[in-house]
Amino acid sequence: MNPTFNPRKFLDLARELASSNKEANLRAGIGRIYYAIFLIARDKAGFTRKQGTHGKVISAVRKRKGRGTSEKLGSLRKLRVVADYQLIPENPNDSNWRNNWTRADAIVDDVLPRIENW
Amino acid sequence: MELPELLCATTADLGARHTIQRRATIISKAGTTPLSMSIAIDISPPPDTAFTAIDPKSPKFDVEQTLHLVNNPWAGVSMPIFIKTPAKKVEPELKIHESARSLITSKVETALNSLLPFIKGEARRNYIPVSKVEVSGFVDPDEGDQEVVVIQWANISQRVALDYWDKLGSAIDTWIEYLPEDIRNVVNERLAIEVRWVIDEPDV
Repeated sequence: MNPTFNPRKFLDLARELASSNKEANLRAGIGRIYYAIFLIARDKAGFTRKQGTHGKVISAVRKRKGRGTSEKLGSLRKLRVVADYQLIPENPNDSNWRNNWTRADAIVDDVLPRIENW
Repeated sequence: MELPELLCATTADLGARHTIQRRATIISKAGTTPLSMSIAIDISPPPDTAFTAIDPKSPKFDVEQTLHLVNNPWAGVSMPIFIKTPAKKVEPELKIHESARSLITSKVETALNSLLPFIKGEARRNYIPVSKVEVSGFVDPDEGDQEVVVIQWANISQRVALDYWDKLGSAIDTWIEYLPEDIRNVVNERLAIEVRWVIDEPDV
C-alpha cells in the first residue's frame, strides 16, 4: 500500500517554483500553495475526498478558527482561480504575479499553524 | 500624554449625589470633522472610585459626549476634561468592479449597505488608514460558488494587515449576530472580506 501523500510537499514545491521570476512558475506556485493548505484543512476538518469541497472546507474553518482565518483561506482560493483560469486577471490589481505570490506566501505562513493546530 | 489637537477644554463640576453628568461639546475648527474621539481624564482617582469613560463606537461621530462618574467621592471638585481628535482624513475611494454587478442581488445589496459602513468603522477603530475599498465578483469555475468580495486596501505592513484582518473577522462575527437571519446568511454565504496591504515588488 502506498504511503499517504503529505500535502506539505506541495508547499515545498510551491516555494521552489516561486524562486523563479517566470509568470508561469508563480501561477503554478500559487496553485500548489493553496492546495497544500486546502488539503491539510480538509483532512483536519474530517472531510473525505468526495465531501470536502472548497466552500465546505472554508466554512468549517470559519466555524472552528474564526472568520479571519477562513477569509484568508478564501482569498487564497480566489487567487488560485485567477492563477489557473484568468489569462488576463479580471482585477487589474491581480496582475503583478510577484506581488500575488508574496501575498499568498504571507497568508499561508500566517494561517497554516492555526490549521495544523486544529 | 501629548494631545494631537486640543479643540475644547472644559471643566466638569461634580454633582452632590456623587455622580456627574456633563456634556462636553466638541467645537470643531471650520472645515474639519472629528473622526474619533476619546476623553482623557487628567486626574488620579482614589482606589475605590469607579469611572466610566464613554468612547464613541459608532461610525457616526457624535459631537457631544456625556461623561459619567459613578461612586465618585470627589464631589465639589472641578477637573479639566480634554478632548483630542486626530487630523482630518480623506475618505477612501470606493470602486465597484463590473464582475460584481451581476452578483449584487437585492439582498446582497442590503447586506453590503450594512457591511461597508461597519468595516469602515472598524478600520477607524483600529487606526487602519484605508486608502480604497473595492467590491469585485468571484465565481468558482469548478464548483460554481459565487461571492461578492469586499477588499480594504491600506498602506500598512504585512503584519499589521494580517492582524487587522483577524480583528475585522472577529468583529464581523459579533456584528452579524444582530442582523436579520436572511441578511446574516448572505454575509456568511455570499460575501467575502479581504484586507490587502501594498506590496511594491517589480512585476515579472
